[in-house]
Amino acid sequence: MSSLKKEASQFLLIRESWSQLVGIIINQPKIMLPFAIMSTIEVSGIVLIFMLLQDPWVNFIRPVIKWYWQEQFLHYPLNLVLLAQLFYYFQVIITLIIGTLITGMTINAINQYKLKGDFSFKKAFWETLPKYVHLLIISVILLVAITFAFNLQKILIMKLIAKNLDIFTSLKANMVNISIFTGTLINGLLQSFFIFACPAIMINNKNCLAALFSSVWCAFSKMFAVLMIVLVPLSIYIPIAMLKGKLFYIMDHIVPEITLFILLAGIIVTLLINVVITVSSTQLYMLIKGQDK
Amino acid sequence: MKTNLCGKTMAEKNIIFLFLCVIFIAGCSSEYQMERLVWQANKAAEIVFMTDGAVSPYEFDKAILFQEKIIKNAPESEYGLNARFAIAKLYVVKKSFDKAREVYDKILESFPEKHDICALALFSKGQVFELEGNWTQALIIFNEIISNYSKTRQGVIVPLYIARYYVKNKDQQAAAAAYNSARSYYKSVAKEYQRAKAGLLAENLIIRTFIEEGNWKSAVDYIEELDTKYKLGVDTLVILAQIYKNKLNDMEKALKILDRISKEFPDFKKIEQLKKEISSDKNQQ
Repeated sequence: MSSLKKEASQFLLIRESWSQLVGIIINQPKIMLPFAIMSTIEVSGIVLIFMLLQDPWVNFIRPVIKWYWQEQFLHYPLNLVLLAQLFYYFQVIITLIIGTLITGMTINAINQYKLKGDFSFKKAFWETLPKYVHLLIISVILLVAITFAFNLQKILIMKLIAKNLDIFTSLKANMVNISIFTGTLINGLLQSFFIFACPAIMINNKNCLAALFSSVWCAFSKMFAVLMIVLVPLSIYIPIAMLKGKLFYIMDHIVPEITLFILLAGIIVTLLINVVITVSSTQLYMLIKGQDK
Repeated sequence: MKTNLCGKTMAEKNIIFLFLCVIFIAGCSSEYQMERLVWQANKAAEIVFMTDGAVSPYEFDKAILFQEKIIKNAPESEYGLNARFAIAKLYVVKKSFDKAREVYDKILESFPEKHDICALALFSKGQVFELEGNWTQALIIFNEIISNYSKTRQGVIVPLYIARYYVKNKDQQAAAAAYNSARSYYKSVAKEYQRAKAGLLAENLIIRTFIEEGNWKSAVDYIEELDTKYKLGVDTLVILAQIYKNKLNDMEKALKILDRISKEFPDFKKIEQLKKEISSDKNQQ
């Protein structure tokens, strides 16, 4: 009975977090502004990288491209594939450096909103800055964990397929899609453990280590709710990931410039996911802490 | 002047915006546009080649138009040249042989100073006659290449090409005569360019004529004669060993050559495998 009560309360928590998310977005749409700015930076990144791969700027990076990739990636249409790859690296760096700051600012803004009914990004910025290093450490740990887990799952899938058992041989053709689904699950799982670290730093003034432990403990106590808060929005990215997985095929059968549209769609979807996860996880954290009091 | 909260005037903001646009538009360089056009043209041509010309007139005309656009945009460039050859190839696939030959004639007119290009265009024109079944005309063209473009790649391979035609058509007598003629030609080239790259290539082609004729004894004799003039490379020694093993059934000599390879070319990786194969064949005998 108590476990049923627990499940019911977690459903209530999810419902409450999401309804508060909708409420804050309707009443204070400017909460999305920092993420929109980051998306603008990412779009500018695509433009800059596209420009960098054309004459005359390409001559500066030609030796690097030839050494790390091949000469053919400097020519159409493979230069668009290279653009996607370079943009991925750009996105990772931007997410780490600027995304961390933006996440902290947004959490601070939500906290201000809870306390005073309004918020100021200027205040949020100055309050986030002293805690930036702690936030960055959390982001780096999460990135390393996700990268490691992604590569491990790819190796495991390859080893299973290499065993040549019938069931796995049939999966070989769909390896990319399977990798995307399992990758999303792993990403969601890992994010779930880390999701409350930033709110703990910003709201409860913890350092990164204490925030990490607090986040893991909170996540375990409300695992189902946390997984729903993280996995449901993350799953919206699956179609984009599948398109990226079939990039060569799509480029060959439609037009190579479709790469740019896929990247832009990815940026828009990422913006939505970031907003939803950051706001709803912060709301959930506040609800959990409120329950614990 | 109007200003905004950032302190910049509207005019300054417009200038920055225009500057960024110019940078972006400059990024869509002419090279990008040309490569894009070439890709589109290749895609259109691929459809014609893959279906062996069994496409609608619309698809075929589209393929030709793309290539013509490339020629219009970059007539003297490598892109323009490739486009001309592609147009000819498209006509060949569609079995419009006269039109294909016209295109090759235009190439000859447009690039008279580029001998490699002219030789290739002439060779392709000869192949079109051959495809039509008009070997007589094709042979005239091939002989023209040997006379006028002997120093080009096509000029070098044409004598062998002619001999291979007769072998394909099972005309033993004509093939033998063609191989002899090829050998005479290559010997004259080898004499003229002794110890130069072209000379060595000619010597290799002489060996090739013996091999293609199945004249293994002559091939081996010629290679050994070359060995006295130049030091043979590892590839030629391996060919020699394989001829002794597979064609002349002389395992002793084959093993002797492999021993020589081991001494002169110790880094050659396949030597042990070759020795094993020859030893096992020798034991079976």
